[in-house]
Order: sequence, then C-alpha cells, then structure tokens
Amino acid sequence: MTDIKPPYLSRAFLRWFCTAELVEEIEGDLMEEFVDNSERMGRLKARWLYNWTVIRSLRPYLIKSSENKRRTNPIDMFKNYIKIALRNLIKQRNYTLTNIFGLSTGIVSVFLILIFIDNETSYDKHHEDFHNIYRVATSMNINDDNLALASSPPGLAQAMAVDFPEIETATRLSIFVQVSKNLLQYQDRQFFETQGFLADSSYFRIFNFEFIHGDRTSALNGPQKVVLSSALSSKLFANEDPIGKLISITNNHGKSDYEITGVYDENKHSSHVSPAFICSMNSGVVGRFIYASNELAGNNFLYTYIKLREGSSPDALEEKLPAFLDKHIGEQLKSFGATKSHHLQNVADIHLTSDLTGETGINGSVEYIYILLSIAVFILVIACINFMNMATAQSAKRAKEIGVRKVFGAYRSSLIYQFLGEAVVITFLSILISVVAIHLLLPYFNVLVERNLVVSLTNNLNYLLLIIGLGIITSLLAGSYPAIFLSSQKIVNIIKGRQQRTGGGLFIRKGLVIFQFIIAITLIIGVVTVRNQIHYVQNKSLGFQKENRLVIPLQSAEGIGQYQTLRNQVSAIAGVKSVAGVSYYPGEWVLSDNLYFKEGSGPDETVRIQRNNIDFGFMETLGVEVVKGRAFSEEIPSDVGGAAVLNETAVKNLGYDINDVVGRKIFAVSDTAMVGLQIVGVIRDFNFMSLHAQIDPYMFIIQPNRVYPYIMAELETNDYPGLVDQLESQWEATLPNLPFEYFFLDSNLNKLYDDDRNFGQIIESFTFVAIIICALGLFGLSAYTTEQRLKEIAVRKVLGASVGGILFLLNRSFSALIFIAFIVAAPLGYYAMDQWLNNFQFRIGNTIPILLLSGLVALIFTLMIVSIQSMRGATRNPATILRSE
Amino acid sequence: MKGTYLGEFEEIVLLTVGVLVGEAYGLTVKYEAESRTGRRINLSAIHSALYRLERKGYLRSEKGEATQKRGGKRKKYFFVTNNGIAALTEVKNIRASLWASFPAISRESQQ
Repeated sequence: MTDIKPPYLSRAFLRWFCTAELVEEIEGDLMEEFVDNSERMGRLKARWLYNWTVIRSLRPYLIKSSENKRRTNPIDMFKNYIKIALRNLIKQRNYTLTNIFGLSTGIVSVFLILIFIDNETSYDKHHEDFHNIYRVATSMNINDDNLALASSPPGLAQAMAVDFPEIETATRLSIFVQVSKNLLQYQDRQFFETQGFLADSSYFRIFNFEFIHGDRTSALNGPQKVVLSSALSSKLFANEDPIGKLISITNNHGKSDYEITGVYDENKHSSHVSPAFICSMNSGVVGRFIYASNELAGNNFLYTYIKLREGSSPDALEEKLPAFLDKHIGEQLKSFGATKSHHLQNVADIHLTSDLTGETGINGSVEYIYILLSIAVFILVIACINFMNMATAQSAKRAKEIGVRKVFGAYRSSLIYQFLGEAVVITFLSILISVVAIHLLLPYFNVLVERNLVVSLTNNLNYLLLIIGLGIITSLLAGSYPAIFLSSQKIVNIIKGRQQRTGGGLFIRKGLVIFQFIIAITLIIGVVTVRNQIHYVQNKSLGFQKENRLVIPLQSAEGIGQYQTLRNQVSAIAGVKSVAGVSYYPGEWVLSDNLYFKEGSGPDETVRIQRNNIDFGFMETLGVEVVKGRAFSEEIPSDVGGAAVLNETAVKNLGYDINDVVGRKIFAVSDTAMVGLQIVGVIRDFNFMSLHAQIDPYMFIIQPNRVYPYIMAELETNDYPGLVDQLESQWEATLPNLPFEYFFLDSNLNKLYDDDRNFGQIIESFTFVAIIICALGLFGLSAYTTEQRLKEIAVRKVLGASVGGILFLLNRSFSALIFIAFIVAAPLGYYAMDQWLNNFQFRIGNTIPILLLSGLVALIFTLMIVSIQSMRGATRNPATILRSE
Repeated sequence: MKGTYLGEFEEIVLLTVGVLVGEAYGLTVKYEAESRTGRRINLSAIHSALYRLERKGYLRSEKGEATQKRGGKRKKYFFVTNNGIAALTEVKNIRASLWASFPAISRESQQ
C-alpha cells in the first residue's frame, strides 16, 4: 500500500496553507480516504477527488492565520530595534565612525564617477534626431601607408547630397587651415582664440545648440557672419547684447571684419566640437576657397556632416559609397596609386569611440569609462566589505542580545530585519554626509576631470533617486551578510557563552579581506604603471632637444611679414644661441603632406611625406641629428626651393638605400615638369608628434619666400625673465599692434600627455580613496582579532614569548592573506595595464618590477596597520588581562 | 441564541458522531453519514462541521493512534459532550412538538 501516493502538489499545497494544529489529522483523513478510493474507483479518480477535497478544504478556519505576526507587536518591536541600534552605534563610536566614513566615501566616489559618466555619454544627444546625424570620415591608403582621418574633402557634402536622396541635409565645418590662433578684436579689447571654425549656413539647422542671442537657423546666412560662444561673448562684450556689432578677426591669412549674428550657450550641452566662434563659410581666404571648391580627392581637412531622412539606413548608404567614389574620382585616385573610402560615424558616438587623425577636439574613450566604473564599484564594494567584516566581528558582543531575543521567541526573520535596519540607519547617516560632501567636493572633482558638472538636487530628481538607490543597494549589500550570519547562531551556544568559531564565518571574513586586497593591489599596480609610463614619455629622448627652446608665434599676416626683422633682432640678444623660423613646431598637428615618388618610378607609386617648411639654421636650433649628408646651408643657393632633408622612415618608404640616397631626387605628384627636389641629407627619426603615434615619413624643405609663422630660439641663459623682457620690448618696438606671446617647447610637448596625466590623476585619487577605506577596515579588523586573542597572548607571554614573537604571530595570518591576494592581483593588473600601454607606440617594456613593487607596498602597508594594533596587545601586562577572568 | 444554533448538516454530523461511539473520526463520520443519508458528502465539509461543532462545545476531541494507511498521521477522535446531547434533545423536542400539532388533513393533501 505504501506505493500509493497522493498527488504531490496538492499535498504540498495543503501543508502550506493548513494551520499547524490541524494539518496532521486532516492530512491523515485525506490519505486514508485516498487509499480507500484508489481501491474502489481507481487511482485516477481517487487523485482527482483528493485534489478536489484539498481545494474544498481551503476554508478560513483551516488557513494558517496571520496569528503568528499578530502575536508580536510590530510597532513596539520596531521602536525597540531603533533604540537598540542607536545605543549600539553610540556605544561603539569608533566602529560607527569608521563605517560611516567608509560608506560615505564610497557613496561620494560612486556618485561623482556616475555623474561624470552620465555627462560623458550625453555628448551630442541633444540634437534633434541625433541618431540620423553622421560625420563622414575618410580612410586613405597610399602604397600601404594608411591614414584614417576624421576630416574629408570640401566637395564631398555637396556631391553626396546630390547623389543620395536619403540625405536630408549636408553641412561642412572647417578649421582655419594652418592657423592655430585667431586674434579677435572689438574696439580696444582683443583676445587670442584657438577654437575657431568656419561652417555652412545649414550647420546650426542640423546641430541644435541653444542660442542666447540671435536666431539659430539663420545665423550663418551670408558672408562675414560670426556666432560666438557665450564665454567669448562675455569676454568681449561683458553682458551687452552683441548682435549686429562688428569684430575683426586676424590670422596669418589676413584681417577681416565679421558681423555678430548669434551667441550660443556652450555649457548647456556637451558636444565633440566646442567652438569659441564659428564664421559663415563664405568669408575670409580659407572660407572662400572651401566655398568655391568641389574637390573630392585631396584637401581632406574639413568635416562633413550629413543628416539622413528618418528611416533610411546608414549601412545601406555606406555600401553605396565605394561606387560613388569610383564614379567621381576613380581615375584620379588610380593615378596616385591611392585608394580611398568613406565611412559614417554617428555624431553621438564620436566623443566616446572615435580616435582618428585630426579630431575636432580631445575625445573621451569607452575604456576610460569602463575603468572608472569598475573603480567606482570597487570602492563601494570595499566599503561594504568593511561594514560586513566589522559587523560580523562585532557579533561576539551582540551574541548575548541575540540569544535573549531568541529565547523570548524572536523569529529569525525579525532578527534579520533588525540587523538590516541597523545597516539602513548607518547607510542613511552616510548618505546625509555624502550629500554635503558631494556639494563641497564637486568643484575639485570638476578640476580633476576637466569638466563643468553641475549637481542640483532640487532641479534634478534623477540625482536624488540615484543617491537613494545607492543607499538601498549599499544597505542590502552591506547588511545582508551580518544579518544572516548573526541570526543563524544557535541559541544554546550563545547562551552558554560558547564562541561560535565556525570555519564558515572565519573563512568568509578572510575571503572578503583577500578580495579587498586584490582590488587594492590591482589599483596600486595601475597607479605605478601610469606614473612610470608618463615619466617615460616625458623624459624619453625624442631625437631633438626640447629644453630651453622658446617658440614665438607671429600670429598674423602683419607679424609674419616682419619675420626677417624679428629674427635678426632676436638673434642679436645676448643669451639667444640660435634662432630660426619654422612653419609648425614639434607637437603641433598640421596636415601638410604631399605625395612623392623616387627616381625611376612614377606617380602611381608614391609615398605620403609630411613636410615642414623651415629656415636656415632651424635644424641646428632644434638639434636634430644628421646621419647622412648635411643640413641646409646658406652658402648653397639651390637649397632654397630645390633641396630636401628626409628622415630615415621617409628614405625607407621611398625605397632608397640609406647609403646611396644623398644627391638623389624625389618628385612630387603635382610636379609635372619633373624638376624634383634633391636629397641633401638624412636625419635620424625623431618623434615630431606624441609618443602615442608612430614616426611618419617626414621632410624639411625651404620654400623660396622664406616667411614663417613661428620663430624658435635656443636660449642659453640663467636669467629667463630678463631675457623674455628683452624679447617683449623688441616685439613691441616692431609690432606694436599685436600682443607678445611665447611658450617653451618642452612644456608645450608635455601638453600632448595631458590626457594621460589626467587619467593617471583620476586613478590615483580614487586609488587613494580605496586604500584609505581598505586601511580603515584592516585597522578595525586587526583590533578585533587582537582583542579576541588577548588571553592567548597573555598566556604566551607568561610562558616566555617575546613581544617580537607575538607580533610575528599576529601579523603572519594577515601576510598570508596579502600573499594570496597578490597572486590573483598581479596577473590581473599586468593584463589591464598592458592593454593601456599598448595605446602608446613607445611604451615601457617590463612591468614585472612594478608588480613586485606594488605587492611589497601593500605588504608593508598592511604590516604597519596591523602592527599598531598587535603592538597594543603584545605590550600589555599579562597580569591585568588574566586577572579579569 | 446565536452560535448555538444547530444546522441540518451539523445535526447529522453530531448524531453520526454519537452513533459511532468512540470510533468517530473524520473519515468514519463521512462514511457513516453517507450511508445513512444516501448523499455524497465531501470530506472537507465533514471536517468543517466537526471543528465548528467542537468550537461550539458540542464535541470534544482526542488524539488517537497513527496507522500505515494514514501515512503515519494520527487520527482525531470526536465525542459528543453533554452540551451536544442537550442541543440534540432540544432540536428533537422542537420537532416532536411541531409534529404533534401537525394536522392530519394537511398530511393527506400532500399525498
């Protein structure tokens, strides 16, 4: 008969709903009936009847009532929980403060990082239909030499708009070519601005920036109009409405007047382009050139944006582009031996994912976001682990309370609620402190990440919800383990005062400490690696001298016209060793390349070489090393316009033998008369751009007009301020209308690594925070373990153990934890930092010493903290400890 | 007299418990009541009535033995209390007095 089983589900259901006093006889009667029925009417019908009876039994008198809960008084108990929680928190002040400090630091860090990430991901998402707006990027390949450009040629926008009906609007944005600074003048006020652009009239119709003054859609209609950023507007006009006023813009192409038609608010929304001013395209030398040009192959220096009609696919358009290029410029490209392709980048993706040559500004990176996000999570986790560890460690003190509560009939669930409640109290105290701290720290954080983030709780409900959400998550994370652990202890053990030294609790506690150290050591590895790499790039020999090199920009056509005069004046000053003019200086990115081929080949086999037009003496002033042939010489007239000095990469790419290259010629593709340039020398490869980039083919030439936008001087003096004063007075005598500007080459080159340094600083700051929290936790935990072992220590001392021996004993277990953590963290940190270092073409090689160093730092640091506590235990008089039994 | 009122089904269950002297638990009550009335009764209805009667004080119960057939669960035996007998007697008397006044004509016209 035992094989007859009633329907399992129904029985389980009955047991679940039926009150405990009656379930036995009800279930028994049902079973007995079921057995009888099975014999009489068959199993199937019996089962059906059983189910039916169970359902019929679902009557109020049988259902497990809420009597259990009714018996405890929830409100009174709740009051009691709060009272006990507050008493405990006040009684154990150090513990409470540690927890609150740790948690608020964690919350502040996470919050700041989250609002930063929120801002980073918001770039260019404010434009109407931003998902339909694309930038057309260019990829050129000339004889295996790849060039991935953010920019494109001037004719592209128009040609694409004509050929593809799915394009609603196309617009172009351009820099002022070969101008790094524009001088803006209004009456007696004048400022240099770097972020100057030219744009088609449709620009502001595609991109929705908020205009403070003027009309967005028509601002760039017609020639000689300009829209200013609000910052520039307030610099030039304070709070006045500048609409209709005329300003003059001066650069090395000349000076012309512009009418102000708009002021836009650049702080309202983030965009990958941040112009100080935008002129209408049909103005100035460069603008009119672009306006008139329908070039599709070369002159890839401006930015083309298209807006697709709703519903049309960017992929489909991209697939049509090769045929489009083939139709328009196929023949032309073939004659250079070049291939070219265009692809579309959604405007909202540019800031985080695009890293092409000639971007409009410094872009962020997705990896950066991931790294920051993981650091944020790490910090919060470390703080939560502290909380959990301290709470469980404190459980010995709370054990009696738990025991008494259990004896008086506390359910496990109510104990869990109680401890979770205490976590909530601590978390919400931390949140209050965090809110204040966020407001105080935000300005410093903005400096750190170079952003202008604003937090306002009253205006932005999201931030409030974010903080409360963080609070709830933190409470649950931090409170759950102690709540479950503490409530699970057996009453008998607690009341008898037997310490629960179960392996489980100890194991988890150790596991959590190891986890903390894995994070800490990984972060330390990161910090040390970034520091080393930045030190490396700033001190690596670049192949030229960067110290004591002063650069003076000549700024405008007027200044450039005075080049020879100024050069002679500067070279006459004592302390100036040498001086020469140059088109652009190391670290400045200017696309100034041309296609060349060697003797015996043709225009279909070309090499792209970056050119720099220099004056006699520049190579000496910069201190580049000539490995073959000679530098330019004023004694040889043919050097002007007819000679070139190449770098080693250029020689190699051209296909010349370095020992047989001097005296040979190279020909530009445009040089149809085949006059060519004679190679007079070869210089050692040097890093003209940042060490992120590889070394490109490069050459120096001297163009016949011999005018240059920059003067570079090598200084040899101990009195830099005095020398600069002399330079300034010379400048004022020659060019009284222009402000004097200068910079040192080395500090300017260091700016190339601003981003990396910034990255390093952010990681360093948050690593510092993480380590502080780690240290706090360790401090608390070691205090606890020492206290637990006080009796043992006393007995050991009585039996003759030395202080040193006891210190060793207490520190040993923590060292083992560090060691385990190091074994996990080392490969982790190694891998992560190797990925980062691969961003550099020139990077530090062996990072093993960094790993070992980081491990050692963590070990010493831990031993120091643990020793503070264990010293206190080890030096106490055993008599006082043992007497208190 | 709210709470002591005896329903028809309750009366049957109470009587059945009395009939089964010492052998009355859920299932035997069900079987006995079914055979006496010729109705199909669901066990849950029997239980419900038994516990209601117990609460009213007409029945008392005792835990009994467990059997293999019951899946090792103990029985609960019910006994009629003095209150129960009083209630039954009262119902019976009310009926008897009603029957006594029932006119013969009315009986015939029904047939």
